[in-house]
Amino acid sequence: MLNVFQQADHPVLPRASHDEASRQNFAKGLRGFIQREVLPGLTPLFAKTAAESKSLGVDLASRHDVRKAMKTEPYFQSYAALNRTAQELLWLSVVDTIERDWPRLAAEVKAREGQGGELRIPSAFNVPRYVTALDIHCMPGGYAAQSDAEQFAAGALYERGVYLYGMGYGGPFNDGKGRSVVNYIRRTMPDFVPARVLDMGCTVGHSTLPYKEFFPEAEVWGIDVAEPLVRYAHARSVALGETVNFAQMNAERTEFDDGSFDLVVSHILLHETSGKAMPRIFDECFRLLRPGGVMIHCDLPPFDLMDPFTQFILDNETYYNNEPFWGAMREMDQVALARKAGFDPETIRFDTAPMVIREYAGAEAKGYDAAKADELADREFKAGEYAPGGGWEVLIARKS
Amino acid sequence: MTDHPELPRTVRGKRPEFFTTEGVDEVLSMVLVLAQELHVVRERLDTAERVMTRHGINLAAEIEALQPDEALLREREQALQDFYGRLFQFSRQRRSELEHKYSDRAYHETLDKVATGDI
Repeated sequence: MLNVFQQADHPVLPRASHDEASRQNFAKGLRGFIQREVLPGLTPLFAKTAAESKSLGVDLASRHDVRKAMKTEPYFQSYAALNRTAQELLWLSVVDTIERDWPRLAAEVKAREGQGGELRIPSAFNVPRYVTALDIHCMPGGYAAQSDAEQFAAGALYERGVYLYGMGYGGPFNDGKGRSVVNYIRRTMPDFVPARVLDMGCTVGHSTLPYKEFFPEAEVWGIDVAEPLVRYAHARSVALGETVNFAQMNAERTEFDDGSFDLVVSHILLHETSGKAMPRIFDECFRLLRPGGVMIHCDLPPFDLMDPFTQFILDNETYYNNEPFWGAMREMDQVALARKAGFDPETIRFDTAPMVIREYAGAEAKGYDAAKADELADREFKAGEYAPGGGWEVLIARKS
Repeated sequence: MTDHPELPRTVRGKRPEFFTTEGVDEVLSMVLVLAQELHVVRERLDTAERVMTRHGINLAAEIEALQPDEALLREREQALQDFYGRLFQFSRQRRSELEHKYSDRAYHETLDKVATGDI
């Protein structure tokens, strides 16, 4: 399949020059090529490596055993090095655009101040160390980069960079995860109409906006620990015509009152927190929900049902893409955490929220047509690919 | 004075070494940046051809139709051979070392000779 998905333009999207667009497309296409043409070679390589180990009496029983054996294999080295380099090219190709497009971007962000929903930035804030210790997924400067006085550059970088990282599979507005969860709620809980919704770790509001679209009467909040992200999220939501509120807050302990939300969600947040923070986030979700309220975390599936090779492939992000909690998070017992936080044990479960790629078939942005959507939706997911075939893993719990 | 902030281009956190031979990671990164730039130039040329078409000049067809005369053939062949020379600079140097019997030992002997005033 030729992937020609194009991100939908809006006033605060960094606008690439001809050559910058080519560089960005090179990075996006390279990611696609690696996962389509290079990644599949790891399966027979592992079969060979495992057989050789076995003949020496060594069983590759854990993902760590597999890594130790595989990382000396030249084919694996090439795969991992290509992946890492593609990631670096991706971010740098967007940094160039943001710097060149800065005067226009800064004016567009500024013009949206005071419009739309509320934007709450405290005068003092401690960004947790698990977000600042490494630049997560090798995004230069990280989420809370202080490099610009205007404090939105990291948001602009994330907006474009993550679209390229996801190769457009999240749709022209990169809102696939939010839409998946919203659809899941509508299908499994048709009578549930939340009046107040909180999206934790919202970054630039990609996943937050669909909640406002599907529950237009709801008061929707997105929170994140990084000022540049929520500042950009606010400008982006105004540019896209949605009234959503954003605030710089820590999901471990927000400033909202007890029982003030009907629905608390997160999308790919938990794996970027820590072993200490995760239980606190579950406790905070419980505190924030009113009785009958629902918590949904959309993140990575736990390791316990996967074979060591699959775990090893997925765990590459931990070692090679600055994702320190990626592997460890998958070993956390999330059901136990939810139970400990106080959620009704009968309601705690993992489920799959199907991908919504078909919904983009009629999108105005280029590349999204019905045939491609079907092809993507029906394909099987291989470990190490970005796009899951089936859907997103969700953990659900209700407060009784 | 620029009209934009200097955004970070490096990443907090040690970059892993994937290859056991030192320097290969660096070379791979450089090769990919060059490949990226080659893609940019090809795409820009493609764009130029399409823009010319809009202005009534079929650049792509004229490029195909161009028949080089002998002078142009010579000019281009020279450019090609010069390019090989730059591309294979490393083996040019290595061949010279073989022919002149340059070695690490001879190099260090020179250092000693220069330092002790023998030459």
